[in-house]
Amino acid sequence: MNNRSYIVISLSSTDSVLWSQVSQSSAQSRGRNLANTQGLLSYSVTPSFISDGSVVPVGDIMNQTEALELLQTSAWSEPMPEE
Amino acid sequence: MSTQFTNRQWRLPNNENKDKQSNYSMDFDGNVQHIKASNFSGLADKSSGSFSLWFKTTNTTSNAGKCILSIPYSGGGNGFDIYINNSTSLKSYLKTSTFTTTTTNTITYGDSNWHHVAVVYDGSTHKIYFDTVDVTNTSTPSPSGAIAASTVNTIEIGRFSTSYQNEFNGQIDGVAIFNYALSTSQITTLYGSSSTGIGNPMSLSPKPVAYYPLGDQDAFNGANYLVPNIAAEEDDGDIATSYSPYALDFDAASSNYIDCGNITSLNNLSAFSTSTWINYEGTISGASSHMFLSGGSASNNRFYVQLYSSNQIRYGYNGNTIVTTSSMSVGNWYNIVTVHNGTSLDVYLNGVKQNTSPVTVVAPSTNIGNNFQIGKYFALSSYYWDGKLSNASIWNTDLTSSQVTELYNEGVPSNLNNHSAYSNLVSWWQLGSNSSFNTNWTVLDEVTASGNNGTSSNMTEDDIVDGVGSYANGLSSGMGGDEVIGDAPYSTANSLSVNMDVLDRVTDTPS
Repeated sequence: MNNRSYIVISLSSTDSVLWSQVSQSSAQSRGRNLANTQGLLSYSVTPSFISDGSVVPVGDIMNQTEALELLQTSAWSEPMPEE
Repeated sequence: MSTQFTNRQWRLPNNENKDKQSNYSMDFDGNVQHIKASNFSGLADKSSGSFSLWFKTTNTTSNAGKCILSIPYSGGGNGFDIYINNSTSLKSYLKTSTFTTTTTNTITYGDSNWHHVAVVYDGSTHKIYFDTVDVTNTSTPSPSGAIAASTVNTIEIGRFSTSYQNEFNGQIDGVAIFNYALSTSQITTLYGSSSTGIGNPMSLSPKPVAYYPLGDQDAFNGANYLVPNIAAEEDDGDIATSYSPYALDFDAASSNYIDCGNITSLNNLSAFSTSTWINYEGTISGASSHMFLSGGSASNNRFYVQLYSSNQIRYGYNGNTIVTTSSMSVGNWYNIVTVHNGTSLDVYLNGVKQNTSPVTVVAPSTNIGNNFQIGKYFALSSYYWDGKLSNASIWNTDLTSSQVTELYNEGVPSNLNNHSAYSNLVSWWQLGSNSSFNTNWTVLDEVTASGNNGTSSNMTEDDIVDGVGSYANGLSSGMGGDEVIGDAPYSTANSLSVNMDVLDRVTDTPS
């Protein structure tokens, strides 16, 4: 398990995210839930947009294991189509 | 070494030096900078041992007491070290059943020239060779018995491992550690010459148990240098040169993956094979995690390879099949090869075929080269790989079992440009080696004709990590990314690129 922190944010907060301060490259490439309402971000150093309250995480800050468990839920992962 | 890229720079030696063993070194500030390598056990309880290195300094006053190389013993104190004694001598500690200090005769080292040092313990004598000459003055008391290195040691380059620390000020190059006493002829070989450069420790027999070239292959990860020990260990314990000392670390929870675009030459094949070195982390969740290769245009026109459990590989085509394998565990490297001959599938783990009879599949789908991705399923934002990956390659043929054995290479990835099936190699990404970071990782496709370079998503510069087969790799501390110097013994005026990436090498040159 790495030492990064993981947060869920509302997609409506995306404009306030400074991508240079998080592990994700862009709004398009980050993980998002199937309802397309929330996104997952990770970071090693708390980003300024979190510290100053510009973006308020949805729920608690997670570790990697907790984030992986979230991604396995039906709200975030759809079954692979099988022929 | 010839021209090569290691994050973040091209290292372009002066042409007259291109065939020399070392053209770069590392510069230590004498304050905080040093390199630490953990989990080294190569000298534990050996009846003899040696090390060889090069150093260069002009600082003979404040360098007194400063350490160039330190290998502690099991009690944590000085085990096998070399340090600056005073302005005209060096000193070495050796811990066996006794504690020996050996001091050199008067030497001249602070003259801004490179000097070679070899320290040799043969079971009864503890000697220091300076530029191949035995300069041992006093050795008190006479040592005997095995080297009291612990089974797991931390090597420190540029300072003591003990609380003294005492960081060295100057340049260091070519640190090699041997679990036997070097002969005088071997020391002469390591010393080399101005025409050929320094000797290659990996050419000696036996090979060293650790070799840190320093400078030539070090990769910067945004905060520290990764300093590889290129004396990699094969699965039978033999030492081999690691061709590809790095890997990339994928975090599934951060949606990490590599997009290689459309590999058109992979489409409409009657047979094809894949090879990937995997090192998984996290919990394997059956169908919904740990996919490491995929490509296609739709769920009925695709392929994928996925770790389905710790002893199962799932292979997707127009449908899917699960092959039971030997058990794999977290934190270990495994070579997974799939061979799809058009009607059946074989899966190999570390060169050994896992299925007892051919697994029936249908012919490869027509568009498996589309949307080719490493570390994720191409059609969904799901099923990410969690852990390390290295040296992924795809082939437009059904590799034979001997060719798979060649790929495994006793547990150390090799140069696939020399593989017997090279003409069938479609794409090969070392992942980490020959990769550069600038917002995202660019991962070079080593097969120029196809040129399907990969681009990472959601990965950071510190995702470059130590590669397959290597152990006791070094990590710098206190360095900022400009400590690799284009200056080495018998090799000067070697250049380093600025603000260039791995794709800036082109084949179009003046005729």
